[in-house]
Amino acid sequence: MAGSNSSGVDEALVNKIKQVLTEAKDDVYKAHVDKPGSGDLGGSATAGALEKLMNLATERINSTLSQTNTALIDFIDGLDNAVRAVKNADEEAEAAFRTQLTSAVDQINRPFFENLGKDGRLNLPDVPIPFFPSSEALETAASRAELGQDQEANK
Amino acid sequence: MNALAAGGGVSKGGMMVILKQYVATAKPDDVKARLDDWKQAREALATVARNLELASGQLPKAFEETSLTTEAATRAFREAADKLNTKVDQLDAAMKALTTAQDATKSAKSAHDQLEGKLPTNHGPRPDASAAQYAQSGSGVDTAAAKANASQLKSDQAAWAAEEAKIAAAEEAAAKLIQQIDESNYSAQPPVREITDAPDPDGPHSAPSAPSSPGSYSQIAAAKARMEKYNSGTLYPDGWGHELIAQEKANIAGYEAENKPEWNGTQWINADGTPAPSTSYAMVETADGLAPMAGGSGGMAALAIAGGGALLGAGVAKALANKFAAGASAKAGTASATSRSAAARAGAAGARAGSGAGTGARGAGARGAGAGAGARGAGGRGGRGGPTGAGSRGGRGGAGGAGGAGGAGGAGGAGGAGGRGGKKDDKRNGQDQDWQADYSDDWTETASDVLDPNAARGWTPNPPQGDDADKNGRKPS
Repeated sequence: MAGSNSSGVDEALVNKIKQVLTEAKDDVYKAHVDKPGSGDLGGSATAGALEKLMNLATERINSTLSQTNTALIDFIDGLDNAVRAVKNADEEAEAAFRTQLTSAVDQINRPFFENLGKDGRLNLPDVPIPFFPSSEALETAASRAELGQDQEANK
Repeated sequence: MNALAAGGGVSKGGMMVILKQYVATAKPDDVKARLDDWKQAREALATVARNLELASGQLPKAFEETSLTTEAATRAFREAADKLNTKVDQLDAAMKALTTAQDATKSAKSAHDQLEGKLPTNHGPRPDASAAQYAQSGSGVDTAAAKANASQLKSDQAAWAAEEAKIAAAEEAAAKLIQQIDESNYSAQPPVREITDAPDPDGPHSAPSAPSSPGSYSQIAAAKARMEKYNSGTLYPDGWGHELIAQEKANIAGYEAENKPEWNGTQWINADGTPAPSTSYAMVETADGLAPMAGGSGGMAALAIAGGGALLGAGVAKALANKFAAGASAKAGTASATSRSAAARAGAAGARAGSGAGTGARGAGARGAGAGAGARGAGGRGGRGGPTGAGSRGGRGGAGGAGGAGGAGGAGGAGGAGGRGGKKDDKRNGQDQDWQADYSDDWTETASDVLDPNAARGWTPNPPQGDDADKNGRKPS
C-alpha cells in the first residue's frame, strides 16, 4: 500500500524518461519527407512506376511519422498518469494510463502501408524570418505543446 | 543536309533515342536529396526505437513497487521499439534500392551524353559510285580525274562506314544502359512496395509493372487484340466497326513505322518480333523532331511526304507526323533497309519493295523516305523513291506510291493492295512529283495537307473531340 510518505515511484527517473522520449518526439515531429519532382527519376516506364511508388511511400512515411508522434504523446502522458495512479492522486489515472499505452502501441504497430492518415504536423519552410525564432525552434515548441503534462500539472 | 544543320542534331539509332527519353528528365541528384529526407525520417524513428528500448529498462526502477504498471509499460515500450525497428529496416532496404537505381540512372545519363558527343552530326546515305562527283567517264573526266574520283569514293565510303560503326557502337551501348536502368528501377520496386502495399498472401507482391517500357511489338499486339473484337457491320460507341478496324490498322502501321524496340525478357525485339537493335535505323534529330536519316529534303518534309504518300487520309499522316514531331522514337522498320538498298539497285527491286510494303500495309512513314534516299544516293538519276503505298486502309488508301524507282530508272512498282495510282518515274528528281494521288476516291484532304501538316491552309481538319479524343484527328463517324 503506497502511503503518503512512500510514493512508490522514482519521479526523478520518470521525468528523465519523459525527457528522453520528448526529445525523440521532437526529432520525429520535425522529420518530413518530400516527394521527388515529376520526371526526376527518368522518362522510362519503369522509372514512372518507381516514381509513383516513391510518391506513395512518401505519404506513408509522413503519415507514419505523424502516427509515431501521436503515439509518443500517449507514452509520455501515460507516464504522468502512471505516476498519478501510483500516488492515488487520480482514480481514473490507472485506466487512462492503460488506454494510452494500448493506443500508443496500436499506432506504432500499424505498418507503413496502413498509415493513410493525414499528417497534421507543423512543417515550416527552412527560411529564417527576421525577429522570429527559427522554424526549428517553433517546431520544437509546437511538438512540446502537444504534450499534456503542462495542462495536467495545473489541474 | 540542311535539316541536319538546322536541327543541330546528331545521327543516331533508336536505342540512343530511347536512352535519351530515359535520362533526359532524370535528376538523380535531386532524387537522392529526397532520399536524404527518408534518411532523416529513418533516424528519427530509430532514435525513438532506441529510447523506448532504454526507457523500458528503466521503468522497473522508476515504478519499483507497482509491478503491474511496470510490466504493462515495459511490454508496451518494447513492442513499440520492435515495430519501429522493423520500419527502420524497411526504410533502409527501400533507400538502398532507390539509391542503386539512381546511381544506375546517373551513370547512364553521363554515358548517354558521352555517347551522343561521339555521334556523327552529318551522316547521309552511303556514298554511291554512280554519283556524279565520282564519275569514271563522261565530259571533263579524264583518266587522272577518274582515278582521283575513285579514290575519293573509296575514302568517302570508308569515312561513311566509320560513322556507321560509331552509330552501331552507340546503339549497342545504349541498349545495355537502357537495360540497366530498367532492371535497377525494376528491382527497386519490391522494397518500396513493402512500404506502400500490404503484403500479398499469394507470394511476391502484386504484379510489378513490366521490367521494360513497352515497345511497338506489344502495342501492335494490343491493337490487333482490339481489332479482333470489332465486327465491321456493328455500331460501337466509338463508331462503326469497319472504321474502328481501319483505325486500328492505321495504328498498327504507325507502330510498325515507329518500331520502338521492346525488351522481351531476353533480347530487344522489333515491331515484327525480329531481334533488335540493328544499325539500319539511324535517325536524325531535327528541330522538328526525329526523322529517318535518309529523308530527302530533311526531317519533317520527308516524313510528311512519306506518311502522306501512304495516303491513309491526311489524318493518319498527321497522326504519324505528330508522333514523330513529339519525339517519339520513330524508326524505319526492318524492311527499311531492304527498301533502301533495293531502290539503289534496280527499279525492279523498287517494285518489289513497293509491293512488299504495300501488301504489308506498312512502311507508312520512314520506310518510304528511306527508299527515297536510296534513289537519291544513286546519283540523282532515278526518281525519289515514292512512299510505299498502303492499300487497305480505311477503304481509302489506293494511290500507293511506287516502290523507289531506283537509280536504274526502273518503272515504279505498283502501289499497295489498292494498287491505284502507281508511281510514275520522275526523271527530274523533283519532290513535287514524288507521288501521284488518285483523286477518284473520296478525298477529303488536299495534297498540301498531306505534304505539310503544319502548313497554314484554308482547310482545317475536324477538331478532335475533347482532348485528343481521336488518334486520327477526325471524328469516327
